[in-house]
Amino acid sequence: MIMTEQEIKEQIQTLLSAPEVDYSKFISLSNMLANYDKNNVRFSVDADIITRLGHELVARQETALSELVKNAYDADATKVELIFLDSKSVGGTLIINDNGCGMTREQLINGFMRISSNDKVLRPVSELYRRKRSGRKGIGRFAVQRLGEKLTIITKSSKSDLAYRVNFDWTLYKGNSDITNISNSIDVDNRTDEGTTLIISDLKDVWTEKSVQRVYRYLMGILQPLESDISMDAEKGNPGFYVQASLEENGNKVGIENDAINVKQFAVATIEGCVDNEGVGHYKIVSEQFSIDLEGAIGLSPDDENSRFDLLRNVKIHSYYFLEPCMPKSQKNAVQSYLKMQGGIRLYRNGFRVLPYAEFSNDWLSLDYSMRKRTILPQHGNANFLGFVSINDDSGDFEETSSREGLVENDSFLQLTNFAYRILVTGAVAIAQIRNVKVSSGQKKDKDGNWEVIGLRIKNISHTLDELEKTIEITNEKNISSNNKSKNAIKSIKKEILQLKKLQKEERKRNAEEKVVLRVLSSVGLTIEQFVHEVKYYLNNISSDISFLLNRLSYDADALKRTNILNDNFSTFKSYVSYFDSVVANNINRELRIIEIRDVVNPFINSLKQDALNSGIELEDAVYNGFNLYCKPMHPSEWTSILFNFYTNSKKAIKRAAAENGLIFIECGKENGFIYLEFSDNGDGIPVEIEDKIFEEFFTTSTQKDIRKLDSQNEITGSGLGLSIVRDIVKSYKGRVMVVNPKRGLSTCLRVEIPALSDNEIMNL
Amino acid sequence: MGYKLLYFEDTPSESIKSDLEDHGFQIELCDTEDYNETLAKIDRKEYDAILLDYRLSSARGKLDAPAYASYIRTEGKGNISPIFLITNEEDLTIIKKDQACQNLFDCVMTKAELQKQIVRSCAKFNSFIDAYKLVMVSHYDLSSILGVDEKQISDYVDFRMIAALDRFKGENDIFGYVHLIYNHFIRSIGALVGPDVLAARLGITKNSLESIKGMITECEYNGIMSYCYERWWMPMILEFWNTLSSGFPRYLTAEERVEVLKDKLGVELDVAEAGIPEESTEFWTCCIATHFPLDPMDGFICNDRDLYDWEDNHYISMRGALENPNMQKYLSKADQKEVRTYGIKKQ
Repeated sequence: MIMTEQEIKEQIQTLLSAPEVDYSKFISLSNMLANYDKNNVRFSVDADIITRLGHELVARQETALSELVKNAYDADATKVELIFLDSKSVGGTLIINDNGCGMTREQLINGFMRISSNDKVLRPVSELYRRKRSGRKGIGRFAVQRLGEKLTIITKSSKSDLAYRVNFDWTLYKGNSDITNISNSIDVDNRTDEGTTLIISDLKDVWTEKSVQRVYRYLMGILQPLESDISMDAEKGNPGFYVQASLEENGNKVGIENDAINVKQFAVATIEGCVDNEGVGHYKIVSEQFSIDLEGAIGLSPDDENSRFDLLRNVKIHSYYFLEPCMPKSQKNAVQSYLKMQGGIRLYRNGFRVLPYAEFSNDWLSLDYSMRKRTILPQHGNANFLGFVSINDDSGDFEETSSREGLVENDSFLQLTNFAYRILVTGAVAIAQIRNVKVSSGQKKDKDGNWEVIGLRIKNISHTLDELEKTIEITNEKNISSNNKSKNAIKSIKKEILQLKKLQKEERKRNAEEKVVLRVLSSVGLTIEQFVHEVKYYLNNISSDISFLLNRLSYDADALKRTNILNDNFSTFKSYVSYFDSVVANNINRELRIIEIRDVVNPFINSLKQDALNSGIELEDAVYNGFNLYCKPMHPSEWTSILFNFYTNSKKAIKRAAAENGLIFIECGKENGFIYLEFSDNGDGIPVEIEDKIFEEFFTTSTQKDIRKLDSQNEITGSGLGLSIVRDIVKSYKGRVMVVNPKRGLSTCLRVEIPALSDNEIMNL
Repeated sequence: MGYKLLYFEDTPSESIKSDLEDHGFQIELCDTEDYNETLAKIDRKEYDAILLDYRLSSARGKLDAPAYASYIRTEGKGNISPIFLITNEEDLTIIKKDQACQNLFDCVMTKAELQKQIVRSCAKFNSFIDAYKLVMVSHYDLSSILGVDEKQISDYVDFRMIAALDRFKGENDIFGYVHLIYNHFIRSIGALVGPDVLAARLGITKNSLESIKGMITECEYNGIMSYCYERWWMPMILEFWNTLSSGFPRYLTAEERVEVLKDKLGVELDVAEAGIPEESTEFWTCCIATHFPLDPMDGFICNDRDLYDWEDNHYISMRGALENPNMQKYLSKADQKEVRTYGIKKQ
């Protein structure tokens, strides 16, 4: 029905003169009237916008629900309850109940009922607990429309005596009608406690226990489970935020457990520290996983742990330390992405969080910077920590900047960062030291040199330099005391550099030693090659001579016996030479090859079976667990060298054990992406106390027994290089070598692991 | 008096010389220091075969074995004799791959092999010398060379092989002639079969083959080299089978074949078993890696050597391929993939 301007005016007049004004009709009439405005045009909004905002901006029901929970968080609620009523079929009801600050009638009208209000932009931090408010766009509430057809809001604010109840029927918000034309009834409610309740009925989705669980987990992920922990310490801080969910079907209530990942549980260690009210610093590192319980003092000067922090009092640091390799595979991604966003050390001043510290991409302790520089190798970036520093600042040493973004970077602040950084790094290094031992499984860590210590020293120097710089800056203003300070700083730098020199000297010596070893080894290699080449020719001739003798001497028992011994000895000798020959031949070919373990183990066994038998040892055929046991590309002669080293060690061990029936047994297979080879024997075993030494250079068991008993006849004297070569080879392919528990009642078992080819790589060979 | 070998060697060689002499050969040692003198020795033809060490240049000699061998094969004035190559190298594939060595030697072996299997090696040398002499004396008469009559030749021997042999005959190339028979007829599966394949085709174990060998002596191959290679004429074996049963054995299981044999021959025989229990027992060949009997349907074609049309394919079983990864390279791409996905769940 189209009305003329005059008709509309008349209708409005009758409407306004009636005792009870029909506001809806009035709005629609006045909108119609406005269309006759000759000089201006206006935007109008179609009611369908609600569906658009609800459905198209929030596609998934998880996100929709989380928007609503976020709103509760922003309203300073400490508790949110989600109750799903008869939701196992479409059309159920969802009640979201929080104890937040609620809304007054004005807040309802100007806030909730106003699309795209900029309240949260104007007030980014919540009033009571100074929570960083998550919403910005002012459309989160339309997520409700995504969830169900109808909504009832009951809300009560402390600022108002009355509680209100508003009913929405989203089905009315259809296209072709103006949004202002649709009215929603508002009543006074008898609610007395503060907070807001959303009752969403005619749910559009089915919510089962499983889907509620999933949403719940999702919610816990976006919240900050640590907040509560941290602020307990930080006294007046944020009291935390709890979400409860339950499902009610025909009156049976089922609570949904919080099975969401609790990030803290994946921490490898807790690092704590404090500066007491006299300026004395302490730290404590606790790790159950690595059985560490370490306490110590920390001083202003890195070299004097008893030196006091002259500008710090009552400072606490508390952090969880995380390491990616120590996380369970299944949750690694979730935990890491959480830490990436939330990790870091937050700063609380007098119980309140100070921003921007530990916000995403804020690196106030230079942790990420220090990681990138790689002066200290153990992981110590922001994503490795989740913790806080709290300062009790009664004297006002830490001043907030006028923009309320952060603290003024004065001397006190510098000391604070120095203190926090050093404690965290001390923790990371302590864990790394213990962990490296575990990396090579039960072996003591091999010496990687002093690099970590050197790194730490360099870091200390740069810190002292920073302080010195600061001191010089203020020298002009202040005077003698800062002069003394710079003298001290220079002194400590000198000391650090002296230490560095010492360490460098040690490193150089180590490198020189290693070089000598390498040179010796390479010349040994060349000599062997030469020798094998020269000797090979005579082998066949000698053996044919021996067989001739054996034939001819059949009548002479003594001579025959002796010749038989000669024959045995000689065939042993021959098999060694032929083995060296194949090593040399393989070495000519320097290319890396993809190797199936059978292709190295079978030839090895075949060529040494006879030699083993001559020494009274049975070299059994290998057992292979599985097929297609391909290793990542390797040099074939390296496998040869590994096997040969194991073999000679086993032979010696069996000889020492004086066992009647020697036995060597090889087992191979694939496990966790590695090809393993286990080399077992029934020799005299490896005493536990030297288990971790056998892979070191120049360690040899050959001298364990009385050295006088050794002679060239019964012992191949060990150089002590064998197993260290094995270790070096294996390490260079990112594999591992270790002593493991032997099977089948044997006494020793060495295990090598080399990365395996993936199924995909095998198929595309 | 045994055959005489001209033995070219530039390093001390008394041991090998003695070994060969012990087994009946006369040895004339020849160091290759003087090239012309060496050639003169070759051209005097006072020997039955030539034995060459591969490496002849390590001491004073200037040329290695292939140079002398190709002189004998090509420029030599009517030098028709077998040439055997022995070497210190452990890995013969290097020599076999060397183009310069192609089609020169009747037989290549390591010195270690020669000394370890001296009896068999000498038998081989003798067989080659005999074969050359027979071909020469009979003027390439295939029926006397293979030990069967004319009719059997045309019935049993593939016409393409006869045509190929006729070409060598036309060129008077005894080496080529013997080489083809040795490598592509005797040491191959086709008209002739060895004991492994024969046992597989009869469905019996190799031990049981011993107990019926006496009944199939007529099927034995008696031609050249038969002294070192135990072979049977497969067509004759099938004729023998037809006297026992009307069914063709190819599509009988091993048990069914053994039933027939036991029933008709009255001997106790053991049934051959497959390498993997679930494989078919309709055996017709052997896995070249494990030597277990194999139904070709269960195996993969293994292209480990070049074959002529008249030769049967080599097959390798799944187990053989898995246990001998170095053999997998001889399989077709598709078969390689099948072997490598064994045990991997297909997505």
